[in-house]
Amino acid sequence: MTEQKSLLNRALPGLLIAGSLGGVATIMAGLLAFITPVDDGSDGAVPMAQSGQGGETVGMYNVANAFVLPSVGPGGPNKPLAPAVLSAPPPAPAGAVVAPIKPTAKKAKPTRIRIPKIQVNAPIGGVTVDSKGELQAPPTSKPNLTGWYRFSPVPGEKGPAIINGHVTTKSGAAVFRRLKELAKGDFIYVYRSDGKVTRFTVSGIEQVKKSAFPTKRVYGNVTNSQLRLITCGGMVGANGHYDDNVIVYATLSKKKG
Amino acid sequence: MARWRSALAAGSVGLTAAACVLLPTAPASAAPADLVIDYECSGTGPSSIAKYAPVRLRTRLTFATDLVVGGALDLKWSLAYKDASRFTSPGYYAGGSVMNIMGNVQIAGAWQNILQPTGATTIAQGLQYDKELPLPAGISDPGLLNKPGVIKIEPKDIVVDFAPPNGEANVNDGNDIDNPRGHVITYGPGWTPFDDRPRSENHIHNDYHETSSQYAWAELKFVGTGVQYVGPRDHEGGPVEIELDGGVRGSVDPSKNAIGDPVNEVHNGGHTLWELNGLPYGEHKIKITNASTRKAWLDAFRVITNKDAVPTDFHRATCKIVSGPVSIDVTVKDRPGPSPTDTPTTGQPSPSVTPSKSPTSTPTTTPPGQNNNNGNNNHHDDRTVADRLVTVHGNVATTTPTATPKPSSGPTATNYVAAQVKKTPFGGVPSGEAPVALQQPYALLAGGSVLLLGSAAGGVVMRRRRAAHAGNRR
Repeated sequence: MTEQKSLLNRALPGLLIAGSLGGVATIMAGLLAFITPVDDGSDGAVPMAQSGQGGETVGMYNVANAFVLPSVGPGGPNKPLAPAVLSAPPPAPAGAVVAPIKPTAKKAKPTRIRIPKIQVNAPIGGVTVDSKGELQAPPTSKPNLTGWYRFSPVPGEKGPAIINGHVTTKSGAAVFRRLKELAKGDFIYVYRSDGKVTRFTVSGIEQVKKSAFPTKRVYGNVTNSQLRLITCGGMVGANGHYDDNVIVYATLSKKKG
Repeated sequence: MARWRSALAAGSVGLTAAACVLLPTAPASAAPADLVIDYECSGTGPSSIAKYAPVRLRTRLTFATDLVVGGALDLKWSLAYKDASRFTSPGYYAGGSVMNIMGNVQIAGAWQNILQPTGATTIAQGLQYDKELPLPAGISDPGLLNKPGVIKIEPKDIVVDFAPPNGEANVNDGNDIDNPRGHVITYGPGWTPFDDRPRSENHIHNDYHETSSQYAWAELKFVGTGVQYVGPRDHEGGPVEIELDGGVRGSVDPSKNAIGDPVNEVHNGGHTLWELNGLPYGEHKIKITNASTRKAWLDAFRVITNKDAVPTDFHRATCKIVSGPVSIDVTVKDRPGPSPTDTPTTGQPSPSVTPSKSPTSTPTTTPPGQNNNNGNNNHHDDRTVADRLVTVHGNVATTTPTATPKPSSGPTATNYVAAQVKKTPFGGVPSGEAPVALQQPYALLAGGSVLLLGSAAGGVVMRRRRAAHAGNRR
């Protein structure tokens, strides 16, 4: 017993030194991952996530000059998603357009969205803007939930109805994971609390830098009933968030109920 | 000495060769990059689609290397099984399952990012247990480039998820001849099988099990979000107790109808006698026990899956590179030069028409309420770009020359149009966050700190004890 104890006593300093060296090595490995210079693609000291608060990015200028499309593209296989010039209008409808549903005294709400092509059949909750005026997305704890922006028209009524959803969350794929696969002519169905069912036809799709978001094209007034679906895309920065937004434009093509 | 010299020379040649073979990191030319990368995939637990791990994939990653700021790094990643190993169905599903694949590409150098190309394929047909799962032909994702510099593009892990569809699957009362593997009902003593019953009795597969022994039990392990107990209504039946996951959840008496009145039916099969939905997706166990000496029957259990309740990573497989690290250095060049004129002139022969009018007309039309809608940080850039490109749209539409005089005709008659979106949001939408595997190594730092502090504290304690021990001896 005493022999065992003395053996342990002799080995203890070595074990402690090895432990401390191991600890230093682990910390260094962790620090290395931290201190690698990180640049999320924005310019200078303004991180991309804060770029909505002033300051300019060189990237924005270059994107808009070099590779923007004159109008929102149709999407589809072998057609890269590129941003349209900021001043471009929303894309023209892909087919027949029907008159918007007239609002009633009792305001309806969208309840469910279905996009057969990409296997989306998801409930719709409500989202709003935060104190900075940025549009929020549904809680990440509910990856299959989409969010209708409550200050936008009800889908089917005149104006651009806005619905967003996550592309991925920390747990993996989310409801709009395959949104970028949509192309001109695809159908989107939105079900409403008043029993009405609306069908929208995709008219265009684009991928834009969040710092060069086409605010007017997405949220500006239109002459008929339209739908915008928004999710994230592009590269993931060191902050764990995507750099780009994927935006789908659609126009009301059928209504029922 | 000569022997040392030759060994040194041979060693240096060997090292150079190894560097050439193992580290194919080389500045890329304008030719597209074309990388063949092998992966081995494994899953966690029997519910993974890679339970017969490792599943080997051969992938091919291609992308253009003549990248320019403002363009897109568009990754095309094709996937195929490398050998006979396969992802397999973790259960028995109706048509409509989806295979989701997400790659990870680390971008480091002048700036650092991660691009996650994704792809999915929908399996239209129903799936049997252990049936081979198809892979999407390819995955892709464009990332817009907005800064010049040399970047290293390095493929990383691939994540494969299986999403079952909504649906129901019957698990018949028979043995594994008419059931898929792993979906067999286990019977305790006292049951008798009855096969080849008349179709008019409506039993699933025209068969059922019967018992009149009290406490005779039968159970099924299943993966799903709900389950139904299917059997006949019959006036000779008695109460049956039902347990789920080890706890009694209810009972049913097939000799009574839904409102508790006795029935006169005989072997009227195919009824859902009891059901439970809304379970968390995963493996559960249902057990029925005959609670009396009257008859009890079991025709089938019907397993229900609500795909909305399936956690994304429940059937996940993670694929890691086995063919050695691969990376490619690519130079993202700055914009070729101020060439706004080469994009706008798409077939419009009259660029000179609008400039004569637009310098005065466009500024008057655009400002009221429109420029501030583009309320980003990019006001200045936006305007410079728009100024150049608006002329294009003016030409394309050919309505601007006639439309522009309107505002100037009535400067006092200002029309205020209510915004359809009542509060215009600001900037992009934060509608995604990277899966957790890509987070910072906080655990590494915390673990290292604990190890270091523990060792240091142990050292101090040891020294004090030794000092005290020496003092005592003195």
